[in-house]
Amino acid sequence: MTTTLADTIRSEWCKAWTMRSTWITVLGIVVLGTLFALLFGFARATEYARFTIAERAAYQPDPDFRALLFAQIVVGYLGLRAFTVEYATRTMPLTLTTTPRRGRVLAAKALVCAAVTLVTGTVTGLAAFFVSRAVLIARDVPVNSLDQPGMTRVMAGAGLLLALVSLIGLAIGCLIRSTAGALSIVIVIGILVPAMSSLYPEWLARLILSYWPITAGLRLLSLDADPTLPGPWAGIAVTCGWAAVLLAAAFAAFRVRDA
Amino acid sequence: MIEVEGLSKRYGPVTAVDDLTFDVAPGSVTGFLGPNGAGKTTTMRMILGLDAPSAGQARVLGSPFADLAAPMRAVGALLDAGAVHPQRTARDHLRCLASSNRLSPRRVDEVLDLVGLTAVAHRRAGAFSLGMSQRLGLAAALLGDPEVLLLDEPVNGLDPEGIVWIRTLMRQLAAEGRTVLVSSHLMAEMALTADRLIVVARGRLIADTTVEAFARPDGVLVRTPDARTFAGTLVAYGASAVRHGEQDGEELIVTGVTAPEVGRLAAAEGIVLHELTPRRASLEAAFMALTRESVEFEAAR
Repeated sequence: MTTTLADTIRSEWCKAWTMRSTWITVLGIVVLGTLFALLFGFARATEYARFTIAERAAYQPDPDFRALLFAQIVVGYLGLRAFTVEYATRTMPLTLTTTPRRGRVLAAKALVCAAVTLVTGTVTGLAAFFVSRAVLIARDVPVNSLDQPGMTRVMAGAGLLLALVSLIGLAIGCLIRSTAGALSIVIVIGILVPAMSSLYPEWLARLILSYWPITAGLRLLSLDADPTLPGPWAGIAVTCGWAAVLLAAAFAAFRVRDA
Repeated sequence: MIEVEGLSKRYGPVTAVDDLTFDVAPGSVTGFLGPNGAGKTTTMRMILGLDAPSAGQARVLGSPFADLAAPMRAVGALLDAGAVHPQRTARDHLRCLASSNRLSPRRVDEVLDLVGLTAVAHRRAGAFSLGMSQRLGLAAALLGDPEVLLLDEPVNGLDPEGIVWIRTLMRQLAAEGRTVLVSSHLMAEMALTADRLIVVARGRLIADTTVEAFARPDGVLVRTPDARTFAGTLVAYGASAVRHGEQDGEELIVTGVTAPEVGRLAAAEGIVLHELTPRRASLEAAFMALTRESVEFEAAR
């Protein structure tokens, strides 16, 4: 009898759901995403109410996913925990004596994490989209028509984006090994750098919008066709690239490092 | 079967394990003995593929640990009893481990029963005492019914009853033909548990021997009313005899001859003996002597 990747996945799945904190974190992603969608919806409605007639005429509705900027930090945390919890509780040696193939351990953790965040992310994305939309409609702000081209992509895309964010978090968790350290990096990458883009020179801001993991990925959830920015699929491909490079780095370190 | 060949581990200028070579045979309990910091845990971690050796290699059942097809069925290891997620129950902890090697959930209940944790199987591991954690760690090691067991200081934190229990368990596992390597810094414990001893100090192999040979005879104690006369006889025979004891000269410590020879000599000379006892250096003393030599050698270099 030979153990396989499927066995390792089963084990990682079991580990994930036998921690109460996993349930709390998953719930936290959905609640945080929905709550911030509500707040941003009201903020936009208030802003719209102050618009002049001319501004209202020029107003282009666009789905609002700013709420995901906050939810994605918790998603990144869910990813990095897959490794940092094992280091914090000293269970990594136990994991590696039951499954000495380290590439397989990394792959199993990544697959479990991606599956959980794909589902959680899709639910969060849909919740944020419809909550924001309901607030705007209630306050007489124009919204996009649901049969507009690309609308399915925008509604369903958050799961894909957040799954990639969780994998970036997982890779950082594997590389850094401590929860606090890895979470700091996830916050810097996920919020600090993109949020300060208004302070950067134009060329740097544009570079970050096009190639930074989270901002590039958010292009998938946009309906504007700004020719100076990547298209939706090009944008999410950039996020994929970041995840792939970081996972490769994580694998290289995990494979040779003393556990 | 564990084979260690020229195994070394260096951390920068510090050598934790220095060119260790030894085999651990199935069917007996092998004690892995050394003072704290001697490199026992590092050696076990290298055998299990957790730490990469700086030189040399270790094989378990003929192949490197990482190449084993079903690791838990081949090797059970207890390195760190506290290594459990505190939120997880004992049963969940074992269930997750079992699924990684496709072991049945029934086996989880079996080992819980074996280590006596059935009653607390649903309790969170974070609330366990050191002794209970040690039993849970042992349950994890036994889960795959492995051929080889590596136990790092398994008696730590156990109460006297627990120590007797684990000693009996290890002897029983060895009697079933399994390979049992158990590390300890407690000599007295190893004297009771192990058949063979691998002694290390400062990362180096000092002795690879049986417990019997390790505690080698250290002279013969003789009590006789004719101590003075008999001492002369013994010296003439080529032995050395030292008089000591409270009743001034009643006792002799004789070295250089065996107890039967002393007995024969006394009979031939018509000397009355009150006592004739071969003395064994305690394992503790033998160990201290050996490791002290190594430390002094180290300092002299």
